[in-house]
Amino acid sequence: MNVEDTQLMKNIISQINNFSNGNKVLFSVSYEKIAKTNIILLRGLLEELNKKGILITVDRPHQYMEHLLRMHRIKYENLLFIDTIARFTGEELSDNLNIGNVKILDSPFQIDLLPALLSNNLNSGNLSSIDGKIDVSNVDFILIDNVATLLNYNDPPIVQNFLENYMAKFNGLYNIFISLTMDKITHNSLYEVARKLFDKEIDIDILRIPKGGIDRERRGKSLLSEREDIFDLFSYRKCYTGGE
Amino acid sequence: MSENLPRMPSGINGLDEMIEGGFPFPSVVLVTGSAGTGKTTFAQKFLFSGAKMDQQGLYFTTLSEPTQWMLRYSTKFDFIKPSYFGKEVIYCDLGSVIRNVKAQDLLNIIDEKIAEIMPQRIVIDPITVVGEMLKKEYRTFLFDLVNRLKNWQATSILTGEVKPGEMYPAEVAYAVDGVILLLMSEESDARRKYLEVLKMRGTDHLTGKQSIDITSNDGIIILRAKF
Repeated sequence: MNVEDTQLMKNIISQINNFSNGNKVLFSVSYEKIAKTNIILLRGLLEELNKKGILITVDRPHQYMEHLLRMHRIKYENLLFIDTIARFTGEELSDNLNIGNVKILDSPFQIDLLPALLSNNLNSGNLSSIDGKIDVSNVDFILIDNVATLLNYNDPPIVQNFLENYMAKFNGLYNIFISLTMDKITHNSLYEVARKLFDKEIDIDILRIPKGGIDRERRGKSLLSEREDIFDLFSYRKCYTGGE
Repeated sequence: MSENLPRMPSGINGLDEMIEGGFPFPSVVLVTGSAGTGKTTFAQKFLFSGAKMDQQGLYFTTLSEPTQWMLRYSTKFDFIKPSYFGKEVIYCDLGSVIRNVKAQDLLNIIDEKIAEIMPQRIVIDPITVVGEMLKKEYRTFLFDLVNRLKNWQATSILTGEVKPGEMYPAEVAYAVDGVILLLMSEESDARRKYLEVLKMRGTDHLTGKQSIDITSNDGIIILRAKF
């Protein structure tokens, strides 16, 4: 995560740091940047605001988000992953199946069942992390990695119903901060449904620093630059990066 | 019916109109052809047109020549803006490493770099060089690589070198979501270049060979796009 990403995280936090549990914020960002925005948002929530939360992965197996968090040295022990897609991907699950802060659930194809499944599991205590570090009855936020992905598996009315049920369940039963990242142009009809369900919309592009806002030398000093020793292990010629 | 797949513009003039507006996002596409057909130009244009839209690009080169040597030629194209180097477009030279590591190590190196940069556009140019180094491990490597690339939030271009007369590297083509052929044929004492979309999953695409030209201004251009 470079200086611009870190500044973006601070800008996001400044918009939401007064949030109270029960608030709902919809982030608008272009489709191809949703994964990166989620990482930036998670860093802000987990590290800057010291919150505990749930990440539901419907787009990619949780391992990819976990890998990104680890690579960017974001502490995620206070994050409970609920993975609805891993069973379909051929990923190795044995190491992460229902251990620690990962829960594997079935099915992006039956997403309409997910709100009830989640709330039933929360009520029964079945979704608490096994190591006990995350008390899910007391989490601060919930996030879905990319809700629009569900349109690949379900008809739009089913996804819209899911969103309405999901918001109703978590807003009504649990007083937690709900956020969602979506592309309002690519998935306009779903976005229009979502915006009626949220208190606040934040356009990520407006929070970005304009190009050239940070000088290139500073930008080149990535937070990860000290990790480049891993490449040296293989006599690896360093990648061409600006400012270095 | 589920919704249409999100698309990422290719940056190649005239190609997006042939493939419903761009490559599916995310996806992995093979661009293949013999020497001089424009594979690297295609890949560079793909990255630099993304850079114009503030999309992060990551270019892995597997050639054993130094990156700056390759860049020396590339910068002759008008679309390549030096201000994007090291910022919107990051080059990563795998040339030396692929001779010394096993398939799993190479996958990990690529994975780590992608996780660090979090690009929306990835190029591996050319992937076929890796096959010569990994030999028996190559097929498994390709399968794992393509699976991993699909799970990153990116559209990836793999370029594949073929011998004259060979259409595409079959071991790569079976694993990817799309195959674009760059062809050269001798006609009336002249060599003409063509592009053909052979495969593009989830996409209605225009079939058949389309005439192309390579210009310093636009890189690859599909000639019908001019009219």
